[in-house]
Amino acid sequence: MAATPWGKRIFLILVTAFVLVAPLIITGKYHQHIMVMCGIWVIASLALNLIMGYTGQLNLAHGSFFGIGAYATALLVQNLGFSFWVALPLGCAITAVFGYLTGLPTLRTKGHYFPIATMCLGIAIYYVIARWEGLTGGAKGLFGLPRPDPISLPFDVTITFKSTIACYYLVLFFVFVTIILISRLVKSLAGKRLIAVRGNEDLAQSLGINTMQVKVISFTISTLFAGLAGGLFAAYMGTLMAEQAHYLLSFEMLINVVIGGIGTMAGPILGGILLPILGEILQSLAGFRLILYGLLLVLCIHFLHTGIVGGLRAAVMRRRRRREAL
Amino acid sequence: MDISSGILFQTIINGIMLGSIYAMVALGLALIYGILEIPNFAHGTLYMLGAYIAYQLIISLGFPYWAALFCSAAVLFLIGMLIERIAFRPLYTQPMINSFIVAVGLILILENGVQAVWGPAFKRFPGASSSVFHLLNITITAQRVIVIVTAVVLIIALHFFIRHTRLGSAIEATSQNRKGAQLMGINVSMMGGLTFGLGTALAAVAACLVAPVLLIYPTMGGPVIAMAFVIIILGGMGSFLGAVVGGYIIGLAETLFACYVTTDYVEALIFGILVLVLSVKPTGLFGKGH
Repeated sequence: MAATPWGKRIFLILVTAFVLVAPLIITGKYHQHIMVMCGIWVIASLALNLIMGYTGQLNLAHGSFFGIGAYATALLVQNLGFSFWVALPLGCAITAVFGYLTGLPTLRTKGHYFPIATMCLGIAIYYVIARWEGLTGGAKGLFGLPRPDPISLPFDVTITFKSTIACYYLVLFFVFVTIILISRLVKSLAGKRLIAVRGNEDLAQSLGINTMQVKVISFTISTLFAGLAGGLFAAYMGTLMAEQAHYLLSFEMLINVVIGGIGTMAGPILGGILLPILGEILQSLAGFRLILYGLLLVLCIHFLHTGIVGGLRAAVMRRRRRREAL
Repeated sequence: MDISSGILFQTIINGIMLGSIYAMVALGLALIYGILEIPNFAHGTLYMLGAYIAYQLIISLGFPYWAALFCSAAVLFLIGMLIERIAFRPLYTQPMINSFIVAVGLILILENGVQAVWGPAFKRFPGASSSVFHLLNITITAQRVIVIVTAVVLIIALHFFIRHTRLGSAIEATSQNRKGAQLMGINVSMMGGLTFGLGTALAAVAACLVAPVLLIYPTMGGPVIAMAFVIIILGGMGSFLGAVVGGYIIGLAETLFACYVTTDYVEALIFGILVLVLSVKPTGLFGKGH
């Protein structure tokens, strides 16, 4: 593995420093709220990129797994009285088990079956959540969910999560955890296997890679992190609607990944930050926003199918080559 | 006839009607899949667009029902060809995932476009006939009979077209072996466009037929496209017979489940069927195998 170049290292340190002090600079409550949401979308988009970008399997039910994580965490807190800190990992585990169980039959076959099956799954999960009134509150949704319980530290220090800033740091912590775990996974030998499956599944299989196992593991991990994003969303927002499991949500996450740069680490991070901000700016356009997103998606695939990050990389490469040629 | 068998009979009629719609939508999807090998996720939104175009023609311009249905099919045929040419054809040499993502983009554009033009509310337009038949103690509206008869006629006509005309044989040949068809002098790109148009027009006809019975709304394509995909997987991807038989099986299963078990979890049942097919026989009932 090549060592990270110094320029990139300094850039990463500067970015990390900025996101750590950002809520001290950007003090508006509305802006801080958007920053928390961006963090949640970054986690969800990174998770989607693992199965879609690195393993090459388009999951059109990612938003529904986000919804399952959100509802599972919320219901464990509300109905069973669990602490958030127990409910969140349990919620992730429930989502991952669900992902594993749906991955087994749907990833068995190659090619087109997985995106088709996940699209059907996404629609099914949405309608089940919207209609199972006894459990999920149906169309009314769930409301009045508490924020995470305070953490008591030694020396009488307690961290509470009443303020938006505290939630920002909570989400940021999980963003870092997600980035570190997923980037380590992708750079490891297991990550190379994922990429081999994406490149040519038959070839990977002939080289002795258990492609089915690789796909199922990648999908399970991906749904685990989708559940994490969902659980954080539930605790932060305090209300949940069936829309939080809708297939439109899956599409929005897909857009984050594609526009940011599919199959790169920086792409979903960039997309997960830029597109929600763009969404807020375009809020007055209502439905036209999604028409615009659809157009962006089509144009991006046709003319810049590696997204912003891929486009930037290509530009840097061109410049370097030109400099070498001189 | 006693009441319970009356309900059963009525449910079966409804199931056959729904199955006719599903068979037409799935057939269009299967034709497109057969030639282009892309699962067109936007097929359901094109189905929805067909209903809205007929609605506009009937309500604003006063078209008679059958003229509106024909015009909607013609418009969707052209839109289908255009989409194939602009959005999908440049991507044939790229990884499959790119075509899937473009289809998702098309769903966003069309669904929200329709919502921007016509609004999110439910709409309806009158069918070809509003008369009602009474048979023993059950009632059947004429529109339901029209749906079933038109679907059967169209499916048989399409089968005849594919098996017994030069153009149809060219489409069949392209779907069986693209390279071989090209070597025989068939313009495979044109076949792709034509098939895309044909499949889309078929979806538009299905939507126009069912609209007077159900209602139309911008997201009506979602559940239908999910069903249509389950049908073509059940029938065997790209199989003509599979799409038709699968359509009627799923249509009947859905109405019987809704009548005797619950109307709430029909979509979950359909996903259950999909998982079952994928686990037991992924090539479907009439699939050619991998």
